[in-house]
Amino acid sequence: MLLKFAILVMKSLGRNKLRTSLTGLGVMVLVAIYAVVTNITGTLKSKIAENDQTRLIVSERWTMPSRVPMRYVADITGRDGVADWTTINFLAGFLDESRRRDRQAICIVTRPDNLREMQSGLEDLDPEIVEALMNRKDGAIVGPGMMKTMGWEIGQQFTLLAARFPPVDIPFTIVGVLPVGEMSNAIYARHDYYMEATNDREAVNAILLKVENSNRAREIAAELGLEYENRQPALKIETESAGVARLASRGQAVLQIIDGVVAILLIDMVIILSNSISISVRERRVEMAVLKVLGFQPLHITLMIIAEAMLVGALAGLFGTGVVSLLSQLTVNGTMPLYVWNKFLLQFPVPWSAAAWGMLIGAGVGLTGSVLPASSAKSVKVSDVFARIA
Amino acid sequence: MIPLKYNARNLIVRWKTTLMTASGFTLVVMALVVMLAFVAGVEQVCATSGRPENVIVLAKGNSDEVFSQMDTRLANELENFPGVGRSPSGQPLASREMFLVVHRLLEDEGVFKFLQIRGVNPVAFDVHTEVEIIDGRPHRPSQSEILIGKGVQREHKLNVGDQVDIGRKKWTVVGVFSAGGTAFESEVWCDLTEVASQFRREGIYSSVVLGTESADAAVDLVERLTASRSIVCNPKTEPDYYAKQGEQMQTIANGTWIIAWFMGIGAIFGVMNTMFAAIGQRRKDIAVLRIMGFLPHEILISFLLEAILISIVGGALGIMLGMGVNGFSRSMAVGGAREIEFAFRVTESTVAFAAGFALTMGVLGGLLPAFSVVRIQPLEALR
Repeated sequence: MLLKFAILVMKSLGRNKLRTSLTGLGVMVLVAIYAVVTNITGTLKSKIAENDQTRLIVSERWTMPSRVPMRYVADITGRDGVADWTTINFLAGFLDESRRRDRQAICIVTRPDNLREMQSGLEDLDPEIVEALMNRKDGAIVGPGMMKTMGWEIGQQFTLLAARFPPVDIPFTIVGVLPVGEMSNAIYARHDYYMEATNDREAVNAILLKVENSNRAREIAAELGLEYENRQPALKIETESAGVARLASRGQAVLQIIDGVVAILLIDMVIILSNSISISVRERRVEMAVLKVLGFQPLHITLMIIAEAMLVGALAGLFGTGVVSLLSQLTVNGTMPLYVWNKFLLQFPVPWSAAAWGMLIGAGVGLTGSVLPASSAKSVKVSDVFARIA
Repeated sequence: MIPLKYNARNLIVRWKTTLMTASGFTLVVMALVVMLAFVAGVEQVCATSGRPENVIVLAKGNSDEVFSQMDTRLANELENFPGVGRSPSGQPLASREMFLVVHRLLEDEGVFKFLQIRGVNPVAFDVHTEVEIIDGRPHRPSQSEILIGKGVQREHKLNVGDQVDIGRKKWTVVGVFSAGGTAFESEVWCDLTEVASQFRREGIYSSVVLGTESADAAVDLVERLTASRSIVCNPKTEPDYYAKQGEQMQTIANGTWIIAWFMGIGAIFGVMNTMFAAIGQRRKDIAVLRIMGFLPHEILISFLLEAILISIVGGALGIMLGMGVNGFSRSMAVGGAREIEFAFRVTESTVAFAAGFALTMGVLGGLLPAFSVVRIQPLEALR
C-alpha cells in the first residue's frame, strides 16, 4: 500500500518534469544560500554560546586594547586550581608595503607549548607542528587560507609590518599550517620572540586561565576581581564566552540583518513551493476527481499532495546543502581558488552533516508550502469537475 | 503589437498565482533594499566624517586612532610645522587628542558596554567646527565633566546632569553635541589632561588634528609631512581617514549583492514556473493570436512583458516595504575598534538598484518561457 502510494507520488511528480525541476532548483538554490548564511551566523553564535565556565579571560578593566602588566602574570597564574594558562597578544600588521586591506593580518602571539590545550579551535593541530614552533623562535603557524592567498610554503620566510608604536618589521619563518577550519587566515607565533622583536616586555593583552572546575573558576574570578579592583590598572575577569559575546555585540547589527534575511529566505522558499503545488493542483483537478471516484478518501489526496511537496523539498534541500558543503570544503582547504563570492560566503566550513539538515528544512518547507494547496485538492467536488468536462 | 491590457487582464484573472509570484519578488527586493540601506547608512557616516581642511596625524605604522600613540616631542613638532592654520587668537590650530575605547559597567544590567572617549583641549572646538553643543555647556578642565554626542545619548540613554562611571571616577554629563551626523556623535568628549591621568596615558596622544586654511592646503600639508625626513608620522586628510575606516563596508556590500543574487535566482525559477504554467493554460489563446496575424516575436514580447509586469509589481512593493527602515538608528563597529551610530538610508541609488534588480529578475525569469511560445503550432494547439 505504502509502496503504491510512493509510486503514485513519484509518477505525479514525473508527469510535469519541467515544473518539478524548476521548483526543485528554486528551493535548492534558496536552501543552499540559507545553509551558507546560517552557517556563518551559527559559527559566530556558537563561539558565544560555548559555555565552558572553566576558562577565564583576564584583561584590563577599563580600556581597549587591554594592557595587563607582566608583573601581574605570576600572581594570577599561580593561584590554586589554575590547571593551565597562557598569555595572548594581538599583533596587527600588513604583509607587504602596499598596506592594503587585503594584505592585513592578525598575528596571535602566545605560549607555544600548550597551544593545542589553550587555544579554541586548535585542538586538532598536529603535535609535530607545535614541536616545530617550540624549536624555532621566529616560527609561525599560518592558516590554510592565508597560505593559499599569499602562495606561501612551509619553510618560507615572510615579514609582518606591524601596525604599532614604535613601528617594527618582524620576520617569521613558516613552520606549519593551521587545521582547516575557522582559523583560515590567522597566524600564531611565540610570545618570547614577539617581546624580543618589539621590545614590548611590559604587558600582555590578556591572560587565559584554564581552571580545574567551574566552582573554583567562579572563586578565582571573584578573588581576582576584588584584589585587582583598586590596583593600577584594574582588571576584568570574565568567562571566555562572555568576552567573545561582548566583542560580538559590536557587530550585532549585521547579525540581526542576516537573521532577517534568513527568515525571508524561508518564507520565499515556502512561497515558491506553494505556488508551484497550487498550479499543479489546479491543473490536476480532473485527476483528483477520478481518484475520488476510484475510492480515494480526501485524506489520501491531502497526503499525496503533501508527500509530493515534501519529496521535492527534501531532495532539493539535500542537493543544495550537499553542493554547498562540497564547495566550502574545497574553499577552506585551499583546493578551490578564492573569489569574491566564496571568500565571503564560504569562509567557514559547512559540515557534511548540514546536508541532513538541508533535507529536513526542504521537507519542512514542502510541508508548510503544501498545506493550503492540499486542502484545496481534497475539497475537489467530483460532480463539479465532471459537469465542466461534459 | 499585442495590447498590454491583454497581459494585465490575464494577470488579474490568475490573481492568486500572480500575487504569490510577485510576493517572491517582493521579499527578495525588500531584503536587498534593507541590506543596501544598511551599507549606505554606515558609508554615509564614514564619508561625511571629518573636514577636508583638517589633517589627522597618527603615529607611523598606525591606521587607527585606537592603536596609535605619539609622544609630546612629535606633537610639538607637528604643532609648529609650516602650513598649520592659526585660530583668531593666534594659537596654532593643532588639537592634541586621546581616543580611548573604555568599558562602561551598566550597574542595572551587570554588563560592560563600550564607550568611546576623546580627550581634548579647548582648541579642538576650533579645529572640529562641525561639533556644536545643542544642550548644556562645554566641559571644564579637571572637573570630571563630559560632553556626549547625540549617538551616545541615544545608545546609552544619558542626559545632561547624569553621572557616568568611567574608570574609577564619576563623570557628570554637562552637555550634548551634534556633529552633522558624523562619527564624532558616537563619542564622549572630556578634558585631555584629566582623562590621560585617569588612564595612565600622560604625555601620550592618539592623534594630532591640524587645521588648515583650505582643502588644498590640507592635501599639501599631508604631502609635506609624508615627505618630511625629520617628522616620522602617518598623516591623512580627515575625510580620507574616515573613508578608510568604512572600507570594510565594501566587503559587506559585495556580500549583500551575492546573497541577493542567489535569492534572485530562486525567485527567477519561481517566475519561470508561473509563466510556463500560464503558457500551458493559454495554448489555445496563443494559437488564436497567431491565426489573427500576430507574429511569433510579438507574442514572445507579450509574454515577456507579462513576466516583467509581475516583477514590477513585486519590486515596487518590495521597495516600499524596504523603505520602512529608512532613518532607523543602530550602532556598529567599523575599522579597528571604532563604533559608530548610523541610520539606515534608502537612497535614490538604492531604489534604482533595487528596481533594476527586480526588472532583471523579471526578464531572466520570463525569457525562457517566452521563447517556448514561439514553438507552439497554432493548428496543433487548437486541436
